[in-house]
Amino acid sequence: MYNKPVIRKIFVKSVIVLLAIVFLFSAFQSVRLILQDARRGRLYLSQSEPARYHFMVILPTIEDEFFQKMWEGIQEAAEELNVGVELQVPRNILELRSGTLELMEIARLSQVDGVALYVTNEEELKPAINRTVVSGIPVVTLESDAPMSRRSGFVGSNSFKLGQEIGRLMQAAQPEGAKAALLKNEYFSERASQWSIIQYGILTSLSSGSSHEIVTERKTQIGVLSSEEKSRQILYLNPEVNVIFCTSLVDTISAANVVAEFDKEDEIKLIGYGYNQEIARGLEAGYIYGTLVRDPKSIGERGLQALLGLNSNQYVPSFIYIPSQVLTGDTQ
Amino acid sequence: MRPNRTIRNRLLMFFILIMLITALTSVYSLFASLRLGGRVDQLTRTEVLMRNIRGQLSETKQALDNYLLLQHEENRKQVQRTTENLQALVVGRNTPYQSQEQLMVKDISFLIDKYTIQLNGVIEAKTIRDIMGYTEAYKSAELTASYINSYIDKVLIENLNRRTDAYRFLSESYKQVQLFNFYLVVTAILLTVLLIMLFTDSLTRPVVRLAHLAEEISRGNFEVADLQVKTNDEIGVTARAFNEMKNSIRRYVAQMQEKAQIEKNLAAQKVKNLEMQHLLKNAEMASLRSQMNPHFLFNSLNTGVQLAILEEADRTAEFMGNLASLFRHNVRRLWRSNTIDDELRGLHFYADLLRVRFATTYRIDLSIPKDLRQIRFPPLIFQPLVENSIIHGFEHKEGGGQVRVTGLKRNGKIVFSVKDDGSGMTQDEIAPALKPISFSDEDFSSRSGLGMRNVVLRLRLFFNRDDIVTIQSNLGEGTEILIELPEEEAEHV
Repeated sequence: MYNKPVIRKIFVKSVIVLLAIVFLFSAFQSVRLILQDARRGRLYLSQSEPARYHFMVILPTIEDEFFQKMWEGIQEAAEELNVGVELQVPRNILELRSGTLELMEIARLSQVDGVALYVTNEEELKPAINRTVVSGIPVVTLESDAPMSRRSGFVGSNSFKLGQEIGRLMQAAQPEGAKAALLKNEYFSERASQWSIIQYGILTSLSSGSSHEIVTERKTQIGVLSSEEKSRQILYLNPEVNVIFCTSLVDTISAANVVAEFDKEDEIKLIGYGYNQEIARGLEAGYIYGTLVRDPKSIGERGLQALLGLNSNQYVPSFIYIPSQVLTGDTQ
Repeated sequence: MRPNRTIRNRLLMFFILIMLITALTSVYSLFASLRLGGRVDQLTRTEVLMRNIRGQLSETKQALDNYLLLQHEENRKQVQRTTENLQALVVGRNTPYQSQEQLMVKDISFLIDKYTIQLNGVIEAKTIRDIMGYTEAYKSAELTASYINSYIDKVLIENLNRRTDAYRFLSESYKQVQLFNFYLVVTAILLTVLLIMLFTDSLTRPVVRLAHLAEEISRGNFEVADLQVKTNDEIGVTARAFNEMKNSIRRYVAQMQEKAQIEKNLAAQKVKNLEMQHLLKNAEMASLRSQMNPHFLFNSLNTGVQLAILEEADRTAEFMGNLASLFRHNVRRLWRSNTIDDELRGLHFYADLLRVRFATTYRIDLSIPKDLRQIRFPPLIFQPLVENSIIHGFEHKEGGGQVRVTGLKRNGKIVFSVKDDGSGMTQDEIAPALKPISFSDEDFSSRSGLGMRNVVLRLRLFFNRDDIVTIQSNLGEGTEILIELPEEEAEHV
């Protein structure tokens, strides 16, 4: 048996060891926590590494899921390739055109190493694109092209194929004869040449002599309210419409809400654009017939790679197509 | 022995340990505060830069306006100074970084370069009075300035976002850091206090115990346990030396006590020897003195015996013969030991004499077993005792009496008894009777009533035992004198 002094000694030693452990553990944890911020994102300028190039990415908005994904792809590629990427979005949606032009000008004056751009207005932006390219700064258009400009390259969906897919979906939705209404989003509306190609694709897909036709086109603006208003207009003014084709994610969801509100889910087939949880639910429940799913993340990644290639004097094709996917309630 | 771990070294180690704990805590606090300070500085650096650029931009524009209005050389220099200041703010900021904020600062630096060029264009056009030219250039410069301002806003917003995120993270992180800091400080305090207590205890405990021990020893108590000190420092060495010293002193004291006891015993033995020598001397003298008369008396008695035989007085001849035999028996050296058998022989002569001497009949029974008769015994022991019984025991008793001299073994002892049925003794009389006679007694030479005490003294000296003689007596019930000696001490001839 141990006597009292031995127990006391063991107790005291245990307390010392315990305190020492807590002391060292606390010190270790504190230092670890203090140093941890170095690994927690780019909170401090000192954590930012010098980059090889400085590219500017100009997108119409960053609130849309499509553009968020695109930006994600760009960021991932930038990190991987050690490239500095500056995201610029026009200050507000009402100054989309002037804002984009201003940013193009700043990019040129700032002598960035490249610009990746979502073309919102081909006509207005063409001179700015040309000026930038002439000043030695490569410009790559993302998803929305300005084929008539001197842009260095395009990365995005194949517009003709996109049109064909839309046409095929319209036929499949209403085999008897599609009377389609197009909700043409602001992103699309000003891209005259690209939209023409899409329209051409739609038309080529519709079998000649069939009763499929595009009855009306409505222009929607970026935001939620506009698409809802335009959808209502279609239902009021064009009661013959049995297919609505949307050109943005927000438009698709708004149109679906309006169709449900008018209780015309059975009559009107909705063809959406983009993919998220809400659309997935719509496809599953059947109030969205099908959707065209693009891959914005890949578009962003490939766009940045293209800019890098152009700066490194590598061959970069003028068109880099990123495949789109068609999802319906059955194929989902 | 030189200690391996001196108090100095222990103190040094202890202080270093305490300092380490304190230093670690302080260094950590310094590190945390520097880090936090650095972070705050980093977070606000861009904002400060943007404010300066904006201020400088405004000053430059003011200076340009003044120049365009007044065209003073001083104003031109002012424009030049402010643009230089503006450019100085963004010097070395042309390297691309991964951070949005830094990329925009880089944009601003290029825009400032452009702005500077445009300003120069304005001044040049104004100098040559190219109104259209400077108006165009001025517009361009204004546009660039608006770009710069717009970018400053963006940078500030980006900076604000980053600061908000950083602040959120920092505050979240520092809450935990503060918690661990609390643990750190509390454990550091507890650890330090505990270590100080332990160290102080380990240092002072042996000293205190040493002091207590020293106090105890100073009171003369050497039987205290050794001081247990396990340390190998000066205190340990002192404690061990102290233990050694204490044990040595204890040994010396024990040796001295033993020596003193031996000396005491020796002195007692010496006194005893002196007494013995004195007694011997007196006895020798008495003997020599008595030898003178006995020889004459013995010869005269023998002549008397022959004369009585010639005159045919047979009883007289027998009496005188017995008297002569008793004399012969008694004139032997008193200090030469004899046996119980010799004693009994002498007693026979004495009994025969008594029969003639006293008209009253005294019966003397001698009953000692044969196996006890060869025990070595001092001479003239039983005769004085028997005589004592007859003289004192039967002094006031009429009709004679009986004296029994017996011997037996009882409880590992040999017991000789002289018992009479005389008048007995009071308890007060017993003690003086047993008091051995001393040579210093004044009445020693008088020899009156001292037969008993003489016997007691001789028995005690012969057998070296104080309890050899006891008296059992009650008034009117006779007296028994017991001589007891352990069997193993009885020496057989």
